[in-house]
Amino acid sequence: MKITSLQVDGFGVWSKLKLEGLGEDLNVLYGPNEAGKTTLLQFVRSVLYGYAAERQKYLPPLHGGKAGGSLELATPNGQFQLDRHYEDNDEQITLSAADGTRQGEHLVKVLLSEVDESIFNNVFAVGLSEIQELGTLGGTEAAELLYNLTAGMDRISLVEVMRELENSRNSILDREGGPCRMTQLIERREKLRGEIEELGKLTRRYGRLAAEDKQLKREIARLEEEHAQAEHQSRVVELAVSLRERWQQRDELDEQLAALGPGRELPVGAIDRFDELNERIENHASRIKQRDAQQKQIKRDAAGLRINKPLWRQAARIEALSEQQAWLAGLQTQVADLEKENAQRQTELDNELKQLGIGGDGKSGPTPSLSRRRMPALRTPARAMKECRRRLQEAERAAAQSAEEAQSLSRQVETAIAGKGSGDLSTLMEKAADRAASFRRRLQIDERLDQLLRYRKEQEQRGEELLDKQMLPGWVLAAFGVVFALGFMLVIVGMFMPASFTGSLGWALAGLGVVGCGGAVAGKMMMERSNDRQLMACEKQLDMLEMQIEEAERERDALDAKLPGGGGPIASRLEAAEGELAALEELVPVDARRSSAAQDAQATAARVEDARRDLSAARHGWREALRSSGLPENFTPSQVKQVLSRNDHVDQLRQHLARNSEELEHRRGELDSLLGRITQLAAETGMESAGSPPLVQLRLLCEAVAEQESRVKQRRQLKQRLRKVRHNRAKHEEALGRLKSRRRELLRECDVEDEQTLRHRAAQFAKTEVLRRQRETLSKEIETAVGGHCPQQAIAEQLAGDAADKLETRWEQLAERSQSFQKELGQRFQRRGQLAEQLKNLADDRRMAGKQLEMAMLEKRIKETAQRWQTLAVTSLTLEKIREIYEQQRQPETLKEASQYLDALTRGRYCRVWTPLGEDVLRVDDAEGNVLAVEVLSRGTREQLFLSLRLALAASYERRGATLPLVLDDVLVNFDADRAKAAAAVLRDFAAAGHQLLVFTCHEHIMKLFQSLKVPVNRLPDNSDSAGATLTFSKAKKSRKSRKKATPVETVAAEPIDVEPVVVEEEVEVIALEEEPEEEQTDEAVFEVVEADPPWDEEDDESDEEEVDEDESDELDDEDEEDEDDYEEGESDEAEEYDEEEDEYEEDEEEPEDDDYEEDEYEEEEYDDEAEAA
Amino acid sequence: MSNWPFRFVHAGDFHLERLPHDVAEVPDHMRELFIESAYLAAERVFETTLAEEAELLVLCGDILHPQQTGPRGPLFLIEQFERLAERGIPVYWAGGRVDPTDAWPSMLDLPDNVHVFPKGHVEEFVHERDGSPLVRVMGAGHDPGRPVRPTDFEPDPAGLFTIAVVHGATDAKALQSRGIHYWALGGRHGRKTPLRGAETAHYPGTPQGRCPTESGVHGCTLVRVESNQARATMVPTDAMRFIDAKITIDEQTDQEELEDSFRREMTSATEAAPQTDLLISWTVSGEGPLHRQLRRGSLSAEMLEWLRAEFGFGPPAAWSISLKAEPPESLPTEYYEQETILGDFLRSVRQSQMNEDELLELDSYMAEKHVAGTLASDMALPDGPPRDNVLREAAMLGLDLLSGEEATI
Repeated sequence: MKITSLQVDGFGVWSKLKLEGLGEDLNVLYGPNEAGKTTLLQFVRSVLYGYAAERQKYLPPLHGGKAGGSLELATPNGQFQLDRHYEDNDEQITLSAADGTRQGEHLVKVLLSEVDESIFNNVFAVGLSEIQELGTLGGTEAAELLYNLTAGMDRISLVEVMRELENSRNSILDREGGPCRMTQLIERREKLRGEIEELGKLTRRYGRLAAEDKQLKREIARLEEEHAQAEHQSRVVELAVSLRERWQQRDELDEQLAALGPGRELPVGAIDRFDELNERIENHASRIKQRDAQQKQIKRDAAGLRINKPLWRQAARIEALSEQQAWLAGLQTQVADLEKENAQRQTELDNELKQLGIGGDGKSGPTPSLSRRRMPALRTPARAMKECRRRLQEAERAAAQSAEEAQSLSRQVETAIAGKGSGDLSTLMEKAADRAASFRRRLQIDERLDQLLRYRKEQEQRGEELLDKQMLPGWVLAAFGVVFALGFMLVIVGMFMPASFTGSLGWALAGLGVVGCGGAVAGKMMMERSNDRQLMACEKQLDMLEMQIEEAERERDALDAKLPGGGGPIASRLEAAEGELAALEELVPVDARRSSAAQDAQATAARVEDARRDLSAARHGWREALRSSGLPENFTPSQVKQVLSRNDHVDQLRQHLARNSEELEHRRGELDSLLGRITQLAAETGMESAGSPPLVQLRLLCEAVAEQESRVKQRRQLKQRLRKVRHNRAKHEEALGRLKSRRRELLRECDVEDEQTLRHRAAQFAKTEVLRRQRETLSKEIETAVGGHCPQQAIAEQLAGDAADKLETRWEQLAERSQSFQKELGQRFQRRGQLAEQLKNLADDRRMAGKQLEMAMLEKRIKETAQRWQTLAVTSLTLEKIREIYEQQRQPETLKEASQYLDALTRGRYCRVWTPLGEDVLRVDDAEGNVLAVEVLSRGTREQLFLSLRLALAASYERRGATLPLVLDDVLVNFDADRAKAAAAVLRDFAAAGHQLLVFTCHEHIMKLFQSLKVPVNRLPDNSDSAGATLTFSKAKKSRKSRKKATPVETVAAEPIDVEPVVVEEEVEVIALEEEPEEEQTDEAVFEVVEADPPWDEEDDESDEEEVDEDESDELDDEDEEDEDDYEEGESDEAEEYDEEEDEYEEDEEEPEDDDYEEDEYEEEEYDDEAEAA
Repeated sequence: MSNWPFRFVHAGDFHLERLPHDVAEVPDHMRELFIESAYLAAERVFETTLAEEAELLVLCGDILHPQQTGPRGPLFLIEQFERLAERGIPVYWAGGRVDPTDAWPSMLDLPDNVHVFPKGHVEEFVHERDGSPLVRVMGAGHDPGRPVRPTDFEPDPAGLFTIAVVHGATDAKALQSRGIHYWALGGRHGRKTPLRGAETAHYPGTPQGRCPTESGVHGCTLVRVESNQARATMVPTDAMRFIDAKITIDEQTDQEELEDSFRREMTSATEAAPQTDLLISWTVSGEGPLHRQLRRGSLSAEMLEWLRAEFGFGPPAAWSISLKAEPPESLPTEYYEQETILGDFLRSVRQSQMNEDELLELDSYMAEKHVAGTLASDMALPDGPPRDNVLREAAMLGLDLLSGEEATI
């Protein structure tokens, strides 16, 4: 949108003013102070946005006329006229199109591209006062364009994120060192460490106590030893006292024995041995006499016995025959028996042969068909037949057993599963297993239900408790009430009591009261909310429990419906089902055995059939063998066997008969030989007896020999006896001599000559022995009394000398010492008991473990908190890096462009304007890299910066489709000459880029600057006359640079000021007022178009100077003169560069056409879209 | 020499001085169990020795730090040793890092059935049964200044079964072919058998897991010896058990399904150990909106509270100690490629992850008074996996904060 003309009907100092022919680029209006430039600025604002309160001061118009005016606007959609008048405190707006049709008011916003008044006032229509106030942009869209430093896509406020991170981080560890969670945890840890260290002292105390206990143990051992010694000594003394009398008796006996002296001691048992020798000598002498008498009697007996010598010589032969007497009788018997046996054998042989029918005489040999040579041929088929028969029998037996077993097992299984339902065993087992599982699950559900009901009850109790807590206890309410009341009283006191009463503390008390009231209310609310939250959690838990209980009950009901009814409690039914299942499982092996037996029965039946076939074949073979042996076919193997066995018997009978006959002949010969020898002996010894049989004669001979033998034996016995008696007598004589010799030897040993001396010495020795025995008795008594308590030497020491008299005293001393030891021991034991108690208490102390557990939890929390902080810090650190990158490299486009303008305006002294991320402030970098805040810049520089920002913002809005005219009211006034020159060039180029600028100035040097840049400058008419005026703007020759894109910095910065005189392309029209044109020509001042004549144009200088002299102060004149000198220095260079640029643009002439084409095309598309939308 | 079969118990790393740790919150009803668990587990080791009628008990170090347990530790051990002494069971003890031979309090005497191996050099004992040598026990206490080598242990020339007791790790190859029938090793809290066969080397582990990283069943080892062949069997002794439970969810998973998954896992865990109190660390992996909610904390806390209320009170208790939504191993490539603050952020974090030497100066976020204090060491970013973990968490936090959705730090 661009303003093509402006008509002020009445606004401030202006009435009936019309400015026409405003250019689309730079329009410079020159007017002295109070010429109405600012009024024009405000008028533009008012027509576009209304007569706001701050602009009411311009109403009503000073010189009359209808309040308000109109603007003619050129837009891409055509020409519009916007009228806005103010009448009767009401605004009247009219928007008309070029054809006169009225448009809706809403279209005004569209024409303004939705730019609000605030932005317009601060960006597009700014005066000297507004341009210095950047803060007025705060919160506007324009501010976003400047400050919003975020990436284009994610629309996340990095600063917000970093702020949140910082808050979270600081809540863990405050960057400023203030209180925070981490320091609290560390403090708690330090405190815990202290407590643990304190408790660690208990360990050291335990060590000390244990060491003391060990020391006590050693002392007790030592005391016990000393006590035992004292006890021992006391016992010794006590023994000495009790044994003192016997000890003295023993000493007296010792004295008596000593008095008897040692003497000549006899060998041990000498007297006894002497008496024994005498007795034995007498005994031997009497024995010798007896032996002499015995010898005489033996000799008389031997003489009475006589011997038959011939008979005695044949005694050996007779004795030999008598020994064969039994054999002789046996021979006679054997001969008789053999004769009888031969007769019997012969008869038996005859009978046997007759039975076999083999022969009648018994002498013929065996029949050839019964020969043993035929047996192998018959044995094989016979054995085969026998084997087959055996196998058949076994098979039949096995078949019978298998069948019986199968039947028995079947009966067993059927009996066991009878009454347990239909189906086989496996089916029944499956059913029983399912039933048992269902019962088990049912029991589990009951247990789960019990558990859930129990937990629900607990929760309900907890819920009731929490419900009770909902109503705060009376004392809590009372406490809060008291605090509140106190706070309220303090407020009353602080606010209403006189200052004389409260002094300087009045407001402090009031503040304290407010805090107290607030604290009481907040505390009460917090407690109520806390209780409420707990109750809700409990109720939620209860609901969950209810759901679980319902689910369990549903499952239980489903199971109950599925399970059979009755049968008692579930547990017993489960037990019964498991028992039934176990019983069925026990039948599984029985059933398996039954199946196996049935299969065995079938197998054995098949084997029976096989065996029968085999037997039939074997029988056929047997008959063939009989036939080949010539035996009848019906002969059985047993019959063949019988024939064979009888044949052997007949052979044996024949052999026996032959052997008996031979034996009989031999026996008869022997008998005859013996009888002849008996008869011969009887004849030789004269003992013949005619007619007596040989055996009788032999008996008589034997009897006679026996008698002779008896006599010979008796004689030998007598002779031996005589020899013994003689020998015995000789031995007694020898013993007698030896005993006498020993008796003499004993006397010599005892050193005595005879028996009398010996007996005297023996009596003296016996007396000594009595005394010794008495002493021994006493010694034994003493030893018994002493026992094993101590050696007797110790007693003797106690009883020796004068100590014996002081024994009682010493005994008492020792008893006292023992008691002392006992007492000390008691003390030690008591102390040890106390120590044991303390040690036990220390050992059972679990406080250390509790603290260590707390420390472990705290360490974990610290670790987690530290890790959280590290995460936050690393995130912050990384975002800081990104922020730096953004601040360095990703500044908003607007600020980048503003930086270029600033660089140009300040001649490179300040090269960059930027905003820190997330802060609505600006920073400026100078050429040396210093970062400066806006506040530290000089006023002029600051205004240059702000001008740069306005230009950049306007360009930015244009890029966004909001093309609005830029009205600048004396904004270059504080620039130095150099920068003002640069600013003029910047504005010129900015306008040349397609922006409409209305620049008002009251300074002639500025006007001249523009003129030097070939910018036409228009002078405002005098506003003191209410007749009205029309100013038609002169237009500069349209430069080819007008299509130049807004990249002014590079060109302007080094652009020389054009030194060529300004060429006025169009004639300045001086238009008289329409109503009174003639008067205007005469009365009204001429609206001069201030030509852009160069100051060095001598022809025009005079008139210009005159004008200036009229309007400007002298001071300004001086300045202008100085400026002129400045301009002369470098303008030629600038002009050269400018020309060069023009040439460059000539070469690129075609490109703008393309741009135009694209723009038209785009506009057409937009319209098409709008049409479609309509 | 006899060749009778016999049994012995091998245990170690009781660490009676060390309470369970790395748990931020212990409920009141489990405090006593936490305090007593190490002692209960140790007592079960001695009960196992008595119940199995073991010939001897071999302790391979780190039983207790006598100064840190206070008087209770040594007194407890003396009481248990005396129980074994009543049954004539000897104890062979090789000291470890926390229980060197000279650390035992001088004021307390060990029972006669306890044989303590000296520090730094090997000593041997021959255990007899009915007057005949049954087993030869060699061992050495841990001495950092004088390490014991496998070559210090010589086999028995007569072929008597030999046990070598030593605390510390070594190469399994070095133990092989030394002629030692059983290497009773200690110093590892996890159970391990680096060598099997005619020569066995075995770590029994600690009888009680004490932190979430020591999860699973723990116990002692019952060794049966027959024909000079050792066969090791584990006997559980832990009074409570740490469990790692993982649940995977996807885009469609809702909270109700997640609760069902928790219930199933909980039932499975409690059925596997019906008599033992459990301490469960949950890890939820996967993706989807529910996973994001869990990762951001509030839902995790809610679910953890629900799990504790539902299953945490037993008996036996199954207490959920933590619930963590596992961040994905890597984010989608398109996240890194986008030209946004988030893209810049993720690229920067990835750069830090790849460059392990990059110094992340976090001191600037600390007050000056803390920089030189002990707090700085607590807050210092560690190297290695913890650093990588922090960077992963930071990436996920940045993703949550910069992804345009409402986020709560």
